[in-house]
Amino acid sequence: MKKVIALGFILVLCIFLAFFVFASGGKDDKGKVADKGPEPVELVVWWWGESEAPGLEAWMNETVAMFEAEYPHIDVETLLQAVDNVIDDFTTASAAGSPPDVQFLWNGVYHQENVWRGYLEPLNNLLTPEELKHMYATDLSIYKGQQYRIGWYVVPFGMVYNRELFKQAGLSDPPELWEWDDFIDACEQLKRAGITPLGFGFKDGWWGEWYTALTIYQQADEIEDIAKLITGENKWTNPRWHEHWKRAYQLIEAGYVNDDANSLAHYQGIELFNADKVAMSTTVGSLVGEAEKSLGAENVGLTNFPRFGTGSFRDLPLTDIQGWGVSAQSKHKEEATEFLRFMHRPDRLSAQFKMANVFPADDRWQGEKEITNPNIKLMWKWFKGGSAVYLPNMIPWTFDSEVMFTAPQFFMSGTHTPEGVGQLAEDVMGRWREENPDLYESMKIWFNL
Amino acid sequence: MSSGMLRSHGDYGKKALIQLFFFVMVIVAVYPLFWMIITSFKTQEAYLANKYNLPWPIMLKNIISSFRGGKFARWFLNSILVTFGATLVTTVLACFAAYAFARMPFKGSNTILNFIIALMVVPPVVMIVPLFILYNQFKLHSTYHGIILLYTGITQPFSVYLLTNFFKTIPRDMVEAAMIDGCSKLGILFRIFIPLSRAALVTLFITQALWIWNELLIALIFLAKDEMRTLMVGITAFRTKYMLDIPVIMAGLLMSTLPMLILYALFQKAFIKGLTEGSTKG
Amino acid sequence: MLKYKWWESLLFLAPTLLVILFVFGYPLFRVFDFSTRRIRGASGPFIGLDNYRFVLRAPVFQLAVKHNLFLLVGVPIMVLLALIIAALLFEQLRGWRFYRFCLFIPYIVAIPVIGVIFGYMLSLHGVINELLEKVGLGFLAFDWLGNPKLSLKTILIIVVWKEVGFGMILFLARLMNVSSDLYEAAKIDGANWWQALWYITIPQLRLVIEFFAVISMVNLIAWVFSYVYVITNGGPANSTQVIELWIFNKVSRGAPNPGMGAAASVLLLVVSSVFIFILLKLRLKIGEE
Repeated sequence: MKKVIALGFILVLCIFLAFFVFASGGKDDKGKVADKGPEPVELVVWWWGESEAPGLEAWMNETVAMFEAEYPHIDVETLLQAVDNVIDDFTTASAAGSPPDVQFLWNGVYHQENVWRGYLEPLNNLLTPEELKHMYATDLSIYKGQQYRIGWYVVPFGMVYNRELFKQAGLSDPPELWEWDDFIDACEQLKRAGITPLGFGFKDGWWGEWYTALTIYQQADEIEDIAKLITGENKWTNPRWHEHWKRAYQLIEAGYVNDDANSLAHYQGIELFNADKVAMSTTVGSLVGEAEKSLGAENVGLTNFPRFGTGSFRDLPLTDIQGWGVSAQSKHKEEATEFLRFMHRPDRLSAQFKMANVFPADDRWQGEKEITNPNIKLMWKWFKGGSAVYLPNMIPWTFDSEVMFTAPQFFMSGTHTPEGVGQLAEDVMGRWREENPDLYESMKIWFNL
Repeated sequence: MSSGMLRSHGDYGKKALIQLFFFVMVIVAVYPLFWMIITSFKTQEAYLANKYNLPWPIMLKNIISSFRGGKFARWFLNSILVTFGATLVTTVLACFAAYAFARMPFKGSNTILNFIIALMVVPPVVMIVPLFILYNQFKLHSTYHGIILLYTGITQPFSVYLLTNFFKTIPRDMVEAAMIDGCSKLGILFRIFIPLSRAALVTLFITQALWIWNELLIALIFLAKDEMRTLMVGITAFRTKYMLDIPVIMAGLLMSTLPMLILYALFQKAFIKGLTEGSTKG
Repeated sequence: MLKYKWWESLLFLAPTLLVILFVFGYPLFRVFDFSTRRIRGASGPFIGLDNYRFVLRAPVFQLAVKHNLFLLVGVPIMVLLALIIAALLFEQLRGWRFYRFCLFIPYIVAIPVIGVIFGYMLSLHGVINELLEKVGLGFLAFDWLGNPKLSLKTILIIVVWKEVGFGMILFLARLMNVSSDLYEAAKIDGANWWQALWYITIPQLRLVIEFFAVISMVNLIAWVFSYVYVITNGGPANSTQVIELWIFNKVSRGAPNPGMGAAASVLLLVVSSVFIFILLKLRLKIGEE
C-alpha cells in the first residue's frame, strides 16, 4: 500500500514539475519563426537595479518587449542579478569565455578592473562621438581615451528624515546643508524622545561603502588626493583621511544607530525607515518614492548627509551614474549596440523616470518638465548644480571587503578604533600594491584621465 | 520492554526525565521547520507584527510569488539530474574498481587503492582553481556532463573504499563455485557480488546522493548559468534577490524542502536502514 | 581465487583511474604550479613563493585558520551528544520511534535552507529572541549572529544541530546489535546509567564512533563553507571567516587572485594530510595495544 502511495506521489510530482518547466520555458519559443531575413540572434543581458530603483524590472520587461517587436530576429534574454554578484559573475563568466553580451556596470574600479583584464569593449568602436557625449557616464568610465560605459540612470544620494518623528522630538526641518554638530544635536534629541535616530544595515557591507562615499570627499581638495591615498603618497593613518571613520564611530558609540545593524543587510536597513522604525536613513533618489509610499509624501523630507569636512568639495552633494557596457567577447556587438540605443530613445527615457523614479543618464532628457515631486525636484537641482564624485569608485575592490565594508561592523562590535581602521586601511593598500602590480600600473594610467 | 539499562517496570523518575529530555530535543529539532512553514503563509505585515504566532488568514500567494521569482522547478530538475546522474555513474565505476581491488589484485594495486582512499580527505576547494581554468579551456562550464564528471570524481574515493571493503567479505566458496560453473569474470560480478552487496550499494547510493544534492561550493562555481543552477545555488541567489520579503523567501524554501521531507516520511525505514547497514559492517 | 591477467584487472580499474586522474590528479599537480604564479585568466608570470608569503601574512587568512581549528571542537561535542541520544533512544521508552523520526529531520534538510531560516530566526529582533523575551529569559537574547564574539559559536551550534542526527542513527543501529545480556549483567552488578555508557556502550561502538568522528572532522573542514556562505558570508567583521570561503573569494569574488587561492589550497592540503596521517598513526597504535 505504501508503495502505491509512493508511486502515485512520484507520478504527481513529475506532472507537477513538467507543468512548471514548460510553463516557464515557453518564452524561448517566441520569435523563432525566422526563415527569411537576418539570422536569429540571442542577446544576453545581465543587469541589476531593481533593489535600488524599484520599477526598473517592469521598465526592462517593457523595453525588451518593444525591442523584440521592432527586431523580430533578436531574442533578448535578461537576467536580474543580486547586488553581491552582478559584477563578479561577469568577471567569472568572462574568464570562462561565456560572458553576456550586454552588462550592467557600476562606475569606477568595478568596471575598470574588467577593462584592464580586457573583458569590455571600447564603446568608441560602436557608438558615434555625439551619442557617447549624450549618454555620458562620468570621467571614470574612460581609460586611455576610450569610453567603456554609457550611462543608464543617475543615483543622487541623500538623507531622508521622517517629519512626523522629528515633530515628536520637537525638531524642525533640517537645512539642505546640515552641519555635523547640529546633526548630532538632533540625534541626541531624538534619542531622548525614545526614537531611534538612524537606521542602517551593516551585514553585507555596502553601507560602509556608501558612508565612505558620502564623507571622504568632504576632506578632499582635488580628486588626485584619493589617487594619492592609493599610491601611498597620502596616508590613511593621517587623521585627515580617517576623520570620517571617527565620525561613524561617534554615531555608533553614542547609540544613535539601530542596535541590530550588524544583523541587517543594507536594504533591510533602509527598510527600517520605510517601516517607521527610525527617524533617518541614507538613501538614493529612486528609493525616496518607496519611503513616500509607506509613510506618506508629506512625511518624508530630504536633506544632504551632514557636513564636517574641511576640503574644497565639502558643500557639494553626491551623485553617481550606473551604466551599461558591452562584453569584448560578445559575438553580437551590433545587436548589443542597437539595444543600448533603444534604451535611450526619448520615450524610453521618460518611461524610465515614470516607472522607476530615476533620472536617465542622458542629457537629452528634460527633467524640469517631468518632475513634480518636491523631494525629487530637490535632487534634480543637486544633480544639475554639480556634484562630487563617488570616490570609492576609484579605490581597488579589495579595499571594500577588507576595510570599507567592515569598518562599521568593527565599530558596532567594538573590535577596532577609528585609528585602528586607518592603520588597517594603510596596510591593506600596501598589500594590494604588492600583490597586484599589474592592476596598480593600470590604475595609475587610469588616473591620468 | 526495555533493552538498555532501565528496568521494564519502575525507574519511573528516570523515565520521566528522559521523556522530558526528548520533548525538548524534538522541539529544538523541529521548530525551525515549523517556523518556516507558518511564516510562509503570512503576509509581510503580519510577519513584521508578530513573528511567532500562527498565520491567520492563511496566504497562499507567497507560494505563487516565490515560483515567479525563482525558477524553482528548473533548479529542482537540475538537482535531480545532476544528483542522479553523478551518483549512478560513481556507483557503477566503483563497482568495477572495487571488484578489481578486492578480487583481482596485482603488484602495486594495493598501493593504488590506498592512494585513492587517501584522496577522501582532500577538501574539494583545493581543486577548484585549476579545474575552473581547465573547464574554461574545454568549455565544460555550466554543462551537465561537466559537473557530473566532477562530482563523480570527488565521490570515487569514498565509494571505492566502501565497496572494496564490502566486496572483500563475499565468501570465496561462492566465487569458486561460480568459476567451476564456467561463469565469466563479468558474470561473477553481476550475478554474485552485486546482488549480495545490496545493503552496501543502497548505503552508498543514499550517502552520495545526499552529499551531492546538498553540495554548494562546486555548484556555485561550475554551474553559474541561471537555468543550470542546482536547487542549493538557486536558493542562495533567491534569498539575496528578495531579502526584504521574508514570508516569500520562506515559501520558496518550503517548496524546495517539501519533496525531500515527503520522501523521508514515506521511506523512513529504508532511508535509515540504507544509511546505516552498509557502514556498520567493517 | 579468480583466474585473471593483471591487465584485465587494470581494465576494470580504468574508468575510475581516468576520472580520478582528471578530477584529482591534474588539479593537484596544477595547483602547486598556480601557487607560484600571479594568475590572470588562464595563467600568469612566475613569482616564486610570493603567493605563500602573501597568504600567510594576510590577517583575514590567519583568522580563517583560527576559526577552522576552533570549529573542530564540534567533533567531540557531536559524538558525545549523538551517543547520549542514541543510548537514551535505545532504552526504547514509549514514543522512541517518533523521537527518532523527528530528531533525524535536521539532517535531511538542505544546508542553504537551514542557513536562511536560522539567519532570520537568530537575528537580533528575530523569533528566537522575541520568544525568549516573552518567557522572561530576555537576558539570553543576544545578537547571535551580529556579535562577532558570538557568531562563530552560533555557527557551530547550527552545524551540530544538523549533523548530530546522522551520528544518532549510526550509533542506534549499531547498538541494536549489541547483546542485551551485557546490560543485564551490568544491572545485576549494580552499575548506574553513566557507567554503563562508559564501560559498555562506548567500547562496543568504537568502530562506528571512529567512523562518525572522521566523517565529522572532514565535514567540518570541508562543509562549513556552505553554512558560513549562506548565513554570514564571513562576517560580521570577519568573525566567521573560514579557509574555504577565503579561497572561494580569491577565485571568484570581485578582486580575484587565483594564485593566492592556489597557495592557500596547497597549505590546506598539506595540513589536512598531516592531520590525517597523525590520526592514522594513532589508530594503528591504539589498535596494537
